[in-house]
Amino acid sequence: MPQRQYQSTTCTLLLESQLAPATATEFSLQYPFRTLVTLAKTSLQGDGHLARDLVSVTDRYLQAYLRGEPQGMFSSTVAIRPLDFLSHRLTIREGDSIKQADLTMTELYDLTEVLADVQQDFPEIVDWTPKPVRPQGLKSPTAIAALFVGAIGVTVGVSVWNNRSQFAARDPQDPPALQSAAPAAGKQPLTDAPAQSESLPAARQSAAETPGEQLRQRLLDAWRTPASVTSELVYRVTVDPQGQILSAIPQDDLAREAQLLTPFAAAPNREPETVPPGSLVFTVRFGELNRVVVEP
Amino acid sequence: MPAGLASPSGTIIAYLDLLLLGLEALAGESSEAVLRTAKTLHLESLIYDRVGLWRIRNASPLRRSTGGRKKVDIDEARALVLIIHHLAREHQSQLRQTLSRLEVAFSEERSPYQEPPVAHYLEEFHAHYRSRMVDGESRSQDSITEQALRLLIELHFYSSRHGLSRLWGSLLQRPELPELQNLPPEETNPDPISATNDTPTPVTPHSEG
Repeated sequence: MPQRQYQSTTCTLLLESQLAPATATEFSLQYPFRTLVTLAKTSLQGDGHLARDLVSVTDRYLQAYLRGEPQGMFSSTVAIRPLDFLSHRLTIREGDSIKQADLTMTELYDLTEVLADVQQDFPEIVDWTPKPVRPQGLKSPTAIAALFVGAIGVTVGVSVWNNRSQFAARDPQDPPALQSAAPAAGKQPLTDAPAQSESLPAARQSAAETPGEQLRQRLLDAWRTPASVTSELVYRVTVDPQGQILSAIPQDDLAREAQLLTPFAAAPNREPETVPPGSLVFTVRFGELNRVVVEP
Repeated sequence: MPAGLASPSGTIIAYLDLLLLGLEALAGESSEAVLRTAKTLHLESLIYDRVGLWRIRNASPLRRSTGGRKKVDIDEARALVLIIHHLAREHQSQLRQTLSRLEVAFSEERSPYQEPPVAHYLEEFHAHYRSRMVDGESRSQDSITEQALRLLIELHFYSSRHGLSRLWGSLLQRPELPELQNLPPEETNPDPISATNDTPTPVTPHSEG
């Protein structure tokens, strides 16, 4: 089958036609195609949605970064957000599962290079729109695309860096890193809460007395109701005693479809294999006007 | 210059000047490199000598100035954009290497000053910033470090084959630099375009980039 490959230092992207007639010799967007992205630490695969959304989402993400306003960007299959000053979390929907890749700044550069090459060769890829069946309650794919602007904004500035006091030191003989520093890139748990939740003001944390209220406060910081979501999104959420989200299981098709748009984008959407003693189960409802309800 | 932009704002000029400062700190080059590049890109009618370049860069509201600031026109700003992209391309491997070492330091939770290329860049940037910028003496060490590292990352993205369009895009959408909001009123000139066109006498233009 015709294919096109793009390569940079740490990233390879392969587009391969499927169902193309035998006479087709060159890759084009005319036929369904699969996308395979090989990154430094992992590989991602999907259909044309993946290539299209990677191009669009990472381009918008980079634009926001370069104008000095880093924030998370999302589509129905791809999400990316800053983890800290030098790393980013890319989340991909692969069928019914979610896959993540944490990228350093140079790895993000390499990814954006190959995606820019793809967009240069196939400018129409950003309009490549297959016809998925969408559950009632979500508007058209175009409306989903419009979420880029209103997506959950997660701003991680260099305050994270500055909080790591060792980086402010000029003297190489200074003491080693503080153990209380923010987790290094790639060391955060897969089910981490949105980045801003790590910096909740102490007063607010102390005000959140119950685990349910603590969870609600974290989610309130991260949830911005997208314009395309017109119905309530409901998840059954398991949280371990340390507050880590072990799973967030969508309670209907709408919630499953929209999970990447929620703060549960990175959370497993199936029952956890092991549940530590003391874990709690909540029902979380995301509604209009940034409303979050945590029950019980 | 991006379509729809009638004239470069103070923020745009300040940002372009900071990018040049970052390149100087990284590569140790000064106005000579800019002038050489201007000639290579056939922009010498816009940026022709050290004094002319000094006047353009001094239009940044972040710069220390003893007189009125030059009026920068759209072609001069555009020339700076082309030159910055060209210089960043020239120093792409150095940008990549420095950023890679920064990432190593970060992942190992070590000070960036323990990585020689990063330490050199930061020390040069601090020296340039403190001596040339209006808030150079008052701005905190951490804040200047933050600015320097951000510029390093951004220059890396601008050094790519797609960097020119990225730089255009960031200029078009860039909000006002926070540094401009914190400047003392008497030192701030938020609109260099409408400022008087006095030509300050550069004290040491040869030392400027």
